[in-house]
Amino acid sequence: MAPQTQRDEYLPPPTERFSLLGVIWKNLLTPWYNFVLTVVSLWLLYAILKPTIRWALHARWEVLPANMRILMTGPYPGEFLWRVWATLWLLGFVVGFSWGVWVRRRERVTWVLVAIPILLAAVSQGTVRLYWLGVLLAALIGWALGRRLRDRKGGLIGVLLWVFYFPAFVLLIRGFGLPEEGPAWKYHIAVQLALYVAALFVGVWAAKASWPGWIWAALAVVGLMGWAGPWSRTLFIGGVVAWLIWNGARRYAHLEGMKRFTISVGLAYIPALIFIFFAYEPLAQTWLSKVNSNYWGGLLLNLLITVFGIMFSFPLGVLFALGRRSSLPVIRLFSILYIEFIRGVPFITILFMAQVMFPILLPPEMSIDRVVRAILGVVMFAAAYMAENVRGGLQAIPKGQYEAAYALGLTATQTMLLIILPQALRNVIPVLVGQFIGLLKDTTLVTIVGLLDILGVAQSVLSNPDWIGTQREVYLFVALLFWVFSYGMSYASRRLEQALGVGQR
Amino acid sequence: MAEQDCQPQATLNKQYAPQVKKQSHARYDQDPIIIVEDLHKWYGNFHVLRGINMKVWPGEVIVIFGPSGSGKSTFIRCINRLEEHQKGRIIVDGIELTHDVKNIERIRREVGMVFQQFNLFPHLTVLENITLAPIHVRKWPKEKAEKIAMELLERVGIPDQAHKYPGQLSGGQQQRVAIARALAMQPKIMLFDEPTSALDPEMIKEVLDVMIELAQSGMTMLVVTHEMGFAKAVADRMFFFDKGQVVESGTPEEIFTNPKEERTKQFLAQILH
Ligand SMILES: Nc1ncnc2c1ncn2[C@@H]1O[C@H](COP(=O)(O)OP(=O)(O)OP(=O)(O)O)[C@@H](O)[C@H]1O
Ligand SMILES: [Mg+2]
Repeated sequence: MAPQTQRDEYLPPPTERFSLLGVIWKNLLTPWYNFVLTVVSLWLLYAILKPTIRWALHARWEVLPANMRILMTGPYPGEFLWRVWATLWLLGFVVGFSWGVWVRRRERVTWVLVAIPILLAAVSQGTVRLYWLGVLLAALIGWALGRRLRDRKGGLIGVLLWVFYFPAFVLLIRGFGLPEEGPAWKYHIAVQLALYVAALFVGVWAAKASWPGWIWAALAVVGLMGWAGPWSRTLFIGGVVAWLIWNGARRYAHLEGMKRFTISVGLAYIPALIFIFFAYEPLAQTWLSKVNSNYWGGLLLNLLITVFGIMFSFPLGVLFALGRRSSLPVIRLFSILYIEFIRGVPFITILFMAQVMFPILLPPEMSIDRVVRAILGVVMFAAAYMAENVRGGLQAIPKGQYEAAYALGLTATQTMLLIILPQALRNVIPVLVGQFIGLLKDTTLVTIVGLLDILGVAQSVLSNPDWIGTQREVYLFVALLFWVFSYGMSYASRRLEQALGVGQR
Repeated sequence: MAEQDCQPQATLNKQYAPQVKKQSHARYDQDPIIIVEDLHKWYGNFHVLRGINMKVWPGEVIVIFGPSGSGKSTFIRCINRLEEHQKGRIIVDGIELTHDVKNIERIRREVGMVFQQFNLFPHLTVLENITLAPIHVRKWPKEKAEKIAMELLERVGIPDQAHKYPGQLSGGQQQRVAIARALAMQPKIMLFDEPTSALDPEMIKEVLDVMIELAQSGMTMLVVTHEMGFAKAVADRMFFFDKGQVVESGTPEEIFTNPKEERTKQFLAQILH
């Protein structure tokens, strides 16, 4: 029981006029022990700051501009550096567009985002300065466009822009080479794409009919029977994927906008064909020729591994979390074994194993490069932890939610996707973002398997005789970069929580 | 178990005595819409349901009551297979409930359920709660689902709350949304498991009014409740459950004025005072 409160204790406290001197006097100088503490703290602060400031004034900061390019992109070839910039311009555009569409209130963070390219332009020189201004320009164009489309499909376009940003990013960074099979590949791709589009149309327009599935299955079987030839492989892969598409389309045919979506995909087939037949080869030989992943490095590599690590480990983690709660013993056992195995092994070991194991496990013609192997290692590692976090979120959902959904006639899959996962994931946003931040910082460990990420580049800079003794400057800079990105993620997660109203609804 | 322990929480709202002209919508000339034959269920070694028999005709309003732990919830949840029975048969709308998932889904489409704890989906607005199943199970276009949802919200008296989240509503409003959500699937049968037990007295009335209106519209209803005012007003038959068995059943007049079994008398005496 709370002690009885006097009635006048509920009255508002007498208002104090704020005065700086008053606050200092009250909190820092009286009574005597506060005064002593203040003096001691000031002295400590001085003792620490003085050498730091002296060092900062005399530090060889020129090491940073001189090596900025390799710190950012590692050995990425100079003639294609514009492609890295292009990913930033695109990013500026997409972010600007999203801002125009979704951010309606005045936000302080807007000014921070605008300030970033301006600041970076201010501290850089020559073309780099122009490039940064290009980012700003792209963002402004995107913003203006987003504002105009705000009430007309802006949201949908915004989502699509983000969806296509990541393939575009890879395309720009990696470029593409010419397939070895010769010119026939164009026809294979054209036929496969045609199958997919057809599957989508059949699925949406003949949603109730049950026969068309056999078409794709038959194609797959025919293809499988003659696996050796390139055409049969095309039929097999095309048939299987078309079957999947058809199935999904059939199931969601009733959703609003599905028909319009299908028609736009059908229309997109034409430019895709034109690209494949007329633009691909010239581009592959000139502007967009392939840059092997050995040449990717610096901060670019850290961010790339982080982004793709998150993008793939997240769905995989959710699947393992569901698997661990599955009623099918085989799936449950497999999930438990996977999660517990990965969690029992140090990350570095997994990175090494990913480098040496995948080449053994996969057929020799499917060799995958080292960066992809590193990403796979990161994904495998992160997925296990993700699974446990998501499982925690799933466990917090009351049984009544399942029962209400089942009682309405929803299937188990629909219940999971529409009712349970949205709530479970929303509840674990803080934990997941914590894990994403950890993932970002852990990407520095790929140095150990010989990839030139920003830390690897930093080490090679420091072993350069010209820059001996600049460890402090370089590592401080690297630390600052990581802090900026981690803080950005943490800030974004807090805003996301607010937007989704975690803990309020 | 001591008698006192069996007594349900004070669910009887003595003020609630609706004055409705009693008129039954039961269509006894048709085939029964629910047939339960010798239903048994065990939780481990615990024999919860011990041979329940019941037939429900279209349009009937059935009230099920009895002491806590007597298996009322378990029974009603067997009818849409939220619980699995181990022996006996349940036939709903001509379909027998077995392990066949397709049959279970078909029955669940035709049987709406309202829970004691509402169980609304907290991440969806009221309107989304109601349109979810029509869109994803009945495959209606969104406009149609929303139109019907708004009509239902009108019917349960809260059209102005459509765009709020469940957490922003009072208990009574939430339960009415839950009723609208179940009705949106246009079910043939509605199950209610103590729909007013979690509500404050002043909210009980608003929910019961909706249920009475529903009963008068000819819906087949199975209601677990201790609201005897409601039972008197609209029930066609009442079933008294005790220790997993139907001890007594009959019309409200028979049950209230002339209960045959001693156990029924005792129980009614407890909750009517
Ligand atoms: N999942 C379960 N596992 C084991 N025993 C259970 C389970 N659910 C219910 N029981 C037991 O079955 C018996 C009947 O439960 P039920 O919920 O059907 O009772 P009820 O008549 O609805 O009671 P109340 O009025 O309290 O809601 C109770 O003794 C309960 O303890
Ligand atoms: Mg109960």
